[in-house]
Amino acid sequence: MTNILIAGVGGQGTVLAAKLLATAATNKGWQVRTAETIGMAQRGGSVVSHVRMGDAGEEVLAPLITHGTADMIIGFEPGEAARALPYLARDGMVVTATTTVQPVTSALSGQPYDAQEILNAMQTLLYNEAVRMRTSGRRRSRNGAAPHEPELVCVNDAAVLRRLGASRRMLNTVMLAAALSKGRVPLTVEDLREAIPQVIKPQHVPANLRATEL
Amino acid sequence: MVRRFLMGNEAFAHAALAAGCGLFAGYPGTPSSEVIETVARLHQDGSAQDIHVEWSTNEKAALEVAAAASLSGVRSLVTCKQVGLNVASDALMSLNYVGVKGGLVILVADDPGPISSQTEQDTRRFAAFAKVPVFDPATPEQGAAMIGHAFEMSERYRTPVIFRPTTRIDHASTFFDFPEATHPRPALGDGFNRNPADYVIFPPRAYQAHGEINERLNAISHDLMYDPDLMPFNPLFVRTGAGGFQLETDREQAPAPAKLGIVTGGVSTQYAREALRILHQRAARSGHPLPPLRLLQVGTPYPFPRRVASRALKDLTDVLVLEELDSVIEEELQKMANASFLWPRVHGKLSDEANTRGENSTEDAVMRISAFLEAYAEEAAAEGAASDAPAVTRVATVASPFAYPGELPARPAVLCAGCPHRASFLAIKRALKRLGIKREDAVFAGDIGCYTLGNAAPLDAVDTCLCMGGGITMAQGIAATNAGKKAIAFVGDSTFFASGMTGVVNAAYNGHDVTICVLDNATTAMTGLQPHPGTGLTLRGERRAPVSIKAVLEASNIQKIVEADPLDPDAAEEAALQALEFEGPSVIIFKSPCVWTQPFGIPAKVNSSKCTGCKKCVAQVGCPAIGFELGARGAKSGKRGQAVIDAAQCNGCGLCLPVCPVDAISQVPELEPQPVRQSRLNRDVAPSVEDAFGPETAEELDALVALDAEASQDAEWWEEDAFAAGGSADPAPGLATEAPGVTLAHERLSGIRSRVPIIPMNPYAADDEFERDDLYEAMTARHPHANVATSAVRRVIKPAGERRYFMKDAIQRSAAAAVFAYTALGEASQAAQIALTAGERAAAASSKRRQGSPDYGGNSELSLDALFSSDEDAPAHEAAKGAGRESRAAEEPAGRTRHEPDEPLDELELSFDGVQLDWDDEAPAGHRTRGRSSERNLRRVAPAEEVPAHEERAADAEADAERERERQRRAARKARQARAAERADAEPPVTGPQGSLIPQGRPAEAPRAQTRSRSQAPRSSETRPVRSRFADYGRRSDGNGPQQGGRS
Repeated sequence: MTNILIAGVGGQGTVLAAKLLATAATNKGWQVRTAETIGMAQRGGSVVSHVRMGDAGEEVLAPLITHGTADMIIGFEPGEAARALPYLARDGMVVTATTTVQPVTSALSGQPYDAQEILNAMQTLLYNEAVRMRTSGRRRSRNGAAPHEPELVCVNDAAVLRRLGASRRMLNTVMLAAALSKGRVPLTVEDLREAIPQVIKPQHVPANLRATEL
Repeated sequence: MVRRFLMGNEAFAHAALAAGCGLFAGYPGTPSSEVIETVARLHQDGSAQDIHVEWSTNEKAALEVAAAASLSGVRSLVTCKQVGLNVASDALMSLNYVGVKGGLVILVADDPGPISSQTEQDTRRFAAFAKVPVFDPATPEQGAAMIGHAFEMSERYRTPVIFRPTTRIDHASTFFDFPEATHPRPALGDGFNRNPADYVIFPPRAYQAHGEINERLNAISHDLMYDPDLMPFNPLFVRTGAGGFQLETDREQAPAPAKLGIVTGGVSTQYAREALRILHQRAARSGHPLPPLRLLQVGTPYPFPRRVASRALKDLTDVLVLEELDSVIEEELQKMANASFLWPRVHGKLSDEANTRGENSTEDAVMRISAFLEAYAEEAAAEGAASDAPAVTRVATVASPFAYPGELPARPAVLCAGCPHRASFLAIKRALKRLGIKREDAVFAGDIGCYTLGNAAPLDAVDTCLCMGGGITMAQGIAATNAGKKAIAFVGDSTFFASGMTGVVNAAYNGHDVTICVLDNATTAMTGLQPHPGTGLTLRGERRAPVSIKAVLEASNIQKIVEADPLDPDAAEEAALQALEFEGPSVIIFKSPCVWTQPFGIPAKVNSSKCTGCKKCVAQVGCPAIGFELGARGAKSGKRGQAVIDAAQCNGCGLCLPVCPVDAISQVPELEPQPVRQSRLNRDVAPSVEDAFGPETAEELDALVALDAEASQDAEWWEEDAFAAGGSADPAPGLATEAPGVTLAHERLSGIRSRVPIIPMNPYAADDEFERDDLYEAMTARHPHANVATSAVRRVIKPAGERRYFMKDAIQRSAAAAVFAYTALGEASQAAQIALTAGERAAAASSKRRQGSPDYGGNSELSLDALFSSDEDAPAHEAAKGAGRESRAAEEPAGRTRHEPDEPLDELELSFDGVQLDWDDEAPAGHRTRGRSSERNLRRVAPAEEVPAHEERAADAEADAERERERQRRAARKARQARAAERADAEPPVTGPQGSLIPQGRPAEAPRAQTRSRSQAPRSSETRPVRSRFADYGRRSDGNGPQQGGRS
């Protein structure tokens, strides 16, 4: 079972990203379920999409990912990726964008909302866990394969989008491609490219395919 | 059949169409709204043919329309959320007695949590109350399968049937196969056939119908046991020897032996199955296998499938019930205990062994099930059931290995950027203020919709919210019982039609003094922009004359109705005043469309040179597009930080423009989105007042001024590069490091800068790091006349703002600043030197003149004092000047000085030997700078003489040519920069290196291509002569002035 959690701010395209992953998974013949929080999409609230795929042929039961079992958290915004950490598995990976969207509560309260601080804290957390795993000597994993170490991957989404000449709407495709290129989940960027024309409107397909080229 | 990735609601729509449903009616309500939208979409694209689909005015209307359709033999579906069923309940209760003909299914979406509702009411109870069967799916697939059977059951027994999914099933997606195109099933009996005996509900008929209801409930219960089509909806899972759960398929035999059972309803079934999978894996690892278990899902909780349950629970000692909302299944099992002697003990909400409110989850199910097994499995083993394997030994929990160590700010849903509701709330608040009514003396009775989000800070504009349309009537209750308070109701346009009109009539009829604000944004926004009677457009795309809210109000005898555009603040406030002052019921209709139905306007931008960091925009407007950057620095904001508008979010409503007290926000069409700037200051370095500020010696000043010529060119380029890089460049502006003779000076400059990071002479530094208060304090600490010079310097170096403007006369400014500084230091010869170095013999001459130098032979009465004193209050100034520093220290509070309100500034005209410099030349209209009391020390210099016409024209032509050259240079620079950025970004994004505690600097900045571009740029004075820029501003010239002609 592969569990991927997509966390972002309303309007960043988390629902579409979940749909792309689900389509890619179904193309491989796996059962897949997604669950999302909708309604916050247009009002700037936190949105989370759960994607669960039975990549060993097993049945997917609950629609939501259990805490501590997400193989990957894809964050479209660093604060939201941090908020989703309870879902991350001990050997999971966090792939996050680095551009923040400041919540109104932060602007009002005067507390700084800094990407660097959030990413540093996440990196420390994951690094400490990696060290603990190495020193504990016991290497266990859920699937029986060689266990991975927890890792944080920061994607400079501003630079990538600028280089592509793409608008912010391509953020979800860019983040998905970055996440799948890490090899932590059994889906690849090629699977994503196959799924794009099946999900996205024809006029936007070339731009999205270009966005998958890192 | 077509395979599609569908969310639960979409699948239910497809399933209903596949079942031949011909009429769909409902009212939007999360989480049910997508059903009707999907049907409408399929109808529009032709795959669902010959159906009728509509958004009704409210749920009651929808159910009544569907009821009549059903009596006409057409299969009908009604959709609403659980609280919507409350509105339709009157029709539902009677409909069961009247009966249906074509199948009628009511899809009621419950919302455990609640995630977006006012209550956690359980529709299964409503079904029992209405004596109507209810289907409760565990997955979207099961729900889609249930719909067809629901229609059949409805027709077979002539009863409405409730189908109740919950949010996690409505909004969960998976793949489905549905037919490509559908047609409705032909109407039974060819339409409506008169049958008043049955269809007109009189008490005798009701008594008879009640008997029919009781009979059919028994029959349905029998079907649920024996009808093979309905068996999958109450599945029993048994644990096989190999572990794992399997669906039992043969109901003839007794189920596999066990002592413990779990009974679930809805999505808790999936949570329980997932939990059992987790527990089984752990049990396998630990060597303590789980005891045999049975898991029963009850998918048809009313009428309760007693026979299914008694077979499934046969010989069990204990069962755990996991369900959301009410303890419906648990109570049914408790009731069954009465009927049998041997019945398992039932554990659940009532025995505090399951959640009594809120959602369930897999984590919770793991904990509950393992606690249940731990408590009762041992007992079962102890009682001699030796075949049971050793029991679970401890309560299992699911741990999260990671949790963010700090606090993340909450991100609640807020009114969108540009939302007219925000403007409406602000208009009312302003009107109340004008009327002298305090906020505590006004009660804002709110309602259900987007405008409920006005509750959040900083608007705080919702005091009550009860139910749909409740605001209008609650305001009347407030008015009737609170003499001193002003009752104001807010209602949206869709809610107005759904259940507001009766409240309005009540106000008119019962004479309540309330003001009702109808927030008309021409849509039903909160649930996803659905149309309603006031929009003039239906779900099927047909146009209708919109039902006019104003006409409804007039017909209801409301005497005071005003309309206003909330985004026009003055008009809105006026309208609000009129309505609030009116005695009796009054209505304001705020008409402005929802931003999501309109194209984006011109985004607003905060002028960082004007923003004082007062946060009024953030605190008063609270728009999510207005952020506050603590690290941003500008001329007027000190260390407070500045507001920044996210142009990607800003809808261009213009609401924030008049709120800013210093007019720092503007909407300028050609400005590009303002990048969010991170501070370039090293936050740990605070300029110290004791430190030397500015140049310590004349030589240092020399070096600085010499560098100005270079730095001003560099700074402009560097600044543009830095902005292109997203404002993340290095705090020490990169000065020319390769020009000869500059290195040493650069080091000294950086040495100075590292002590005090503010150098007013460097135009770039002043632009970005200018802190007026520190500047003032440092300079007054050092120089006796520095206060005067400071004001001059401050006046000369206009607080950075329009960067273009500033850069243009940077050299001029730094030269003049140098002149003043040296003059203040009493070193006239040095001043002259500087002027020459900067290329200004005119400045030198005039400074000499002011010092009474014999070289000039001019008016020796013009002294330093005279230059800096005002004619009007010269004596006062003389006295004050000597004690200038002391008086100023006395008048300002200790520590930071406060900003004074904006004062219009006299134009400072400095004349250097007759060459007039207009400091305000080319300033944008309305540009104002802060004044301080010391400004009056500077006086207007005598006006210049006439410029000979030909010289003036030549000077103008020269200026135009120079501007054109500058434009070309800029364009070339931009192209260079773009190429460099492209090259830089060709490298892959950098990831935090494994094993390093902190990612390298900021995540993945592109390498500094800017340095390359800068070093490639020409910087010698042949191509960028300093003096030609100065001449742009000279209106005339004479022998002592800048040379004419021959300059490139």
